[in-house]
Amino acid sequence: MDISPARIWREKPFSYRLEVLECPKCKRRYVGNVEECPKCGAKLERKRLPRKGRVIAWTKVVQVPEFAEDFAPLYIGLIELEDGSRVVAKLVDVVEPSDGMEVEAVLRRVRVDGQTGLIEYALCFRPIL
Amino acid sequence: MVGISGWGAYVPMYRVKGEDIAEHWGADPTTCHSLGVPEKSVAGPEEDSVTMAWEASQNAIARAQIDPSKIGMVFIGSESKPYAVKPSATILADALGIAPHTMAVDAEFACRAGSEGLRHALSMVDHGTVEAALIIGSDTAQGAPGDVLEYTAASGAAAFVVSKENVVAKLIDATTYVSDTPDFWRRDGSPYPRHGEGFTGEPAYFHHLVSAIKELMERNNITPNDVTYFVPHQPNARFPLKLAKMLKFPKEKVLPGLTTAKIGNTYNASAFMGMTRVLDIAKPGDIILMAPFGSGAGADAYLFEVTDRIEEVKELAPPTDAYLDRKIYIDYGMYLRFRNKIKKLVR
Repeated sequence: MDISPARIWREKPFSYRLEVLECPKCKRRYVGNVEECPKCGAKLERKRLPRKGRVIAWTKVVQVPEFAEDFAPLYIGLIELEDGSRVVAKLVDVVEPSDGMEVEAVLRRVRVDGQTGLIEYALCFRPIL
Repeated sequence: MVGISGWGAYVPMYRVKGEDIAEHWGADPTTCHSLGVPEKSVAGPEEDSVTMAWEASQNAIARAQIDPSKIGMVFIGSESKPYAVKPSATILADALGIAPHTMAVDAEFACRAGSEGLRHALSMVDHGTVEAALIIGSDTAQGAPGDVLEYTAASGAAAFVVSKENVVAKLIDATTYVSDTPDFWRRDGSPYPRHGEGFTGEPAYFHHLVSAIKELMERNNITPNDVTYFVPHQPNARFPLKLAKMLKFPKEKVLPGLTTAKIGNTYNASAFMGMTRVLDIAKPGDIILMAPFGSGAGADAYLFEVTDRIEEVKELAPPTDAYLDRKIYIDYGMYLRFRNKIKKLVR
């Protein structure tokens, strides 16, 4: 099984809704299911990142892994969101990305496990409509 | 007062021209024009009925100005579910921030499943069982390579939030008419639907829609003069105009909602998509008659009255035209790849 049910279930808050865990004391952010800040021990708070941002850098991937063959070529972007957070995500609905391009998050298929396995959905970014 | 409080559409940006499809098969290049569908929308490789439903729903929720956790039912109608077993509605409920305290339904009734949801939602919200409901029609419609359906079977989604608060289109009345009619079907495990050719018209589409609409109009004592927009199911751009003529609705009341003429038939989103475009341009006091149809067969007819709130919320999400006008043309080969009709055999 190429797509682990446990992994996509665990990553859902971030991959579906851009939810992160933030430390109220030191402001460090985490993705996952930790309860306390590994650095200062404070109880982490759930926070949703903004859905809009701009492309800082991007790359095009032509030699893609098997689970992403249907989507080739892939465009991967480093995106600075409106609050200054940076995320790495797939860019979709683009012919040729450009630095500084304004983008927004949209839900898409990112991995498909053959003909019978799971389909992994996650937020990707596309040029603002 | 129960009704629609938010509406939203989504159409993928890819288009394939009917003439390209005809050229590939050596078929008559005028076929697509006689169907009134010169080109159709095609979902990209990373899209499916769930991802399209997600964006249409985002738009509907934005216009309804509702906290997603207040939605007590997510109902999606589709005949192109990504999974045969595993609900699309739970993916949407989670990704939209509606889960976990909600009902979640995947329904099948050819192109009318979403409309069955709308009838359920209007009733359940009216009776106070749930505060609000999200109803979606979404399809990456299948047409077998070489079949005439290939000219019209398109991709798109449309969604409505139903509630008693913030209503933009108040429900006046609704009717339904169903019968066992074998006009179009897809057997379990079969990738493409089949249809009864000419049998899809008179005994199926026209009979069911005329029956549901006549009952609605007689019961409410209205004539076509009382209706501002008529938005029926639109398998092609010809049937809705013929239906309008049979019921004496002038063409001008049908054309604003005839989105199939621009992007093809989006199946469960077909009449819904037309309705979203009409709501984009509607004025307070307008009366809308929407009539979805699904093979197998059944039709619904709804009468809505537009409220003053509509002007306040139109701009809260992209209009349907923003999706209809956004397009990149692909050739027939790319279309086959995007829609999983050809597979790489080298591994």
